[in-house]
Amino acid sequence: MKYLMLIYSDETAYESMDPQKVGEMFGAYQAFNEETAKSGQLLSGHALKPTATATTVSVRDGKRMVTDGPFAETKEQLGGYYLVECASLDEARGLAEKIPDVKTGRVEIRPVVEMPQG
Amino acid sequence: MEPGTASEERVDRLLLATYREHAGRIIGSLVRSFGDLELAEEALHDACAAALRSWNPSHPPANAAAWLHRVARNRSIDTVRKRQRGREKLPLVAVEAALHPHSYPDEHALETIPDERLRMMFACCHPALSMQARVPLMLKYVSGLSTPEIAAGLMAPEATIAQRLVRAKKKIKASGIGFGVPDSRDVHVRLEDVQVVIYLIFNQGYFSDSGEDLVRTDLCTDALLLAEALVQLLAREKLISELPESLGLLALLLLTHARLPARLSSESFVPLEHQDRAAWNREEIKKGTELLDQAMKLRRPGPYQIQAAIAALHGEAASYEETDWEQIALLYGKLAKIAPSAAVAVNRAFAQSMVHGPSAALAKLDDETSPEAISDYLPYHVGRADLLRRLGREEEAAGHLDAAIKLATNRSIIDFLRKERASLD
Repeated sequence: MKYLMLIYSDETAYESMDPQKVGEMFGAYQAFNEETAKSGQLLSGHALKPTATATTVSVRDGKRMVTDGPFAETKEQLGGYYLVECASLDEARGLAEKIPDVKTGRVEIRPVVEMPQG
Repeated sequence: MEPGTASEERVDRLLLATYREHAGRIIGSLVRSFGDLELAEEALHDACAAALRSWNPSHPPANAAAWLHRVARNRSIDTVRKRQRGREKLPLVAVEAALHPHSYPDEHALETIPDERLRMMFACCHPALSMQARVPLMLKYVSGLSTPEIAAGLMAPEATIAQRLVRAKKKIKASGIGFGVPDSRDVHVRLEDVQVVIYLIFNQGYFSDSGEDLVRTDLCTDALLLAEALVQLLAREKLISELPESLGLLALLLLTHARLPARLSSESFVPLEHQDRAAWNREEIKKGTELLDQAMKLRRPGPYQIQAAIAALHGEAASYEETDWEQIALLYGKLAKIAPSAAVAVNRAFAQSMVHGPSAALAKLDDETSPEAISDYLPYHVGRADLLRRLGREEEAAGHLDAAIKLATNRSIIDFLRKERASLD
């Protein structure tokens, strides 16, 4: 089954983080990427640029609305995602617990709706 | 308040300390919101004047930095509105911010000043600006130094620095140098420009160019703070591929800074060979080495990481003789491939001489350096003199030391070189 892992954390936390912790954090992500790629669980994943770069769009009654910023201002922001292939939710949960930001932020796991082929 | 009273002094001190620590952030935040450096600078200046008038020495503001930021921000909005009415030309950003002053998600955000120093760093080190302007710009608008402080640090007349700043600000405004993070195609090269300036600031502090002081430690500290902020802000922007070299730069500065306490002994310069290693700052060596390890795990090697590795090898050696010169020579070899320079050639030859003896090293040095590159290069003459001395070619060595003495501008270094020269007679 495919799951999307949405990683939420306080993006401003880096501003006051000890540079060594910064290095450790990204080193841990690198290790996670390599491990899950090797096991075949990782389908794709990306870090996202901060919410200051976000643009939110909607159309109501044919009227287009564009706002500068994420759709909601929250204390923790979506900072990245992984799309993984796992046999069960428990396996996905095991992976999520290895994502570095899980220690200070949160990871939302959502099963992907898979359309039947053919 | 009466002038010169203890109360006034207390407010002065608080303002000065707050400015030094937070001016970079405040200006960065204002520049982000209003797109105009001159506007930001004047607004902060006005806020400081207001602070001197209104801060109560017995009940100063709980968050002095936020106070300055808020007042400067309001001042900026007022100025923009006035100019709007007078139809002065303004960057669109400024107009937008003035018309919609609550561009922050919530009021509490004003208590923490948003950190936009990365954008300021890119702007201050923009390739369109002269190299001479970039260091003063960084020190003024990111590090928060005053013009006299910058002039003292760079050992230049205050009027010269002031002029460079004025010209640079004019250029920024007139040529439309923006305050943004460059896009992915350019960000690596632009970051190199920023890293070089931070490195130059550190060198200004560590290798004093002229005059009496061999070491001006405040500039070294400013460079370390800049290098640290760079890492934090790159992490925030998720510029992950750029982290390793910036971690490498910070590691290099820390590892070099660690040796500072041993570099001067009662005002005389002490070369690495004779430094009292017990005086080295072990905490900084440990921190620098750990940062380098983190950088290398990210598997994107680069010149700053290599230089940091060399500094780490010096840092962990119990003595000059026990230093892993072979590994250092190898690392300089790697550096020579990706970032060759006269400095690299000289240092590499020197390291090789410690492993294979001065003769081979001398031959290699002559192979790898061109006369134009090294004729005015002080370390070349010092290095070559040393190799020649070890080969017993003392007259030639003396010639190079004479050349070195002519090139040197720092009193402590000149004294040291004269002693070396005298020992050959």
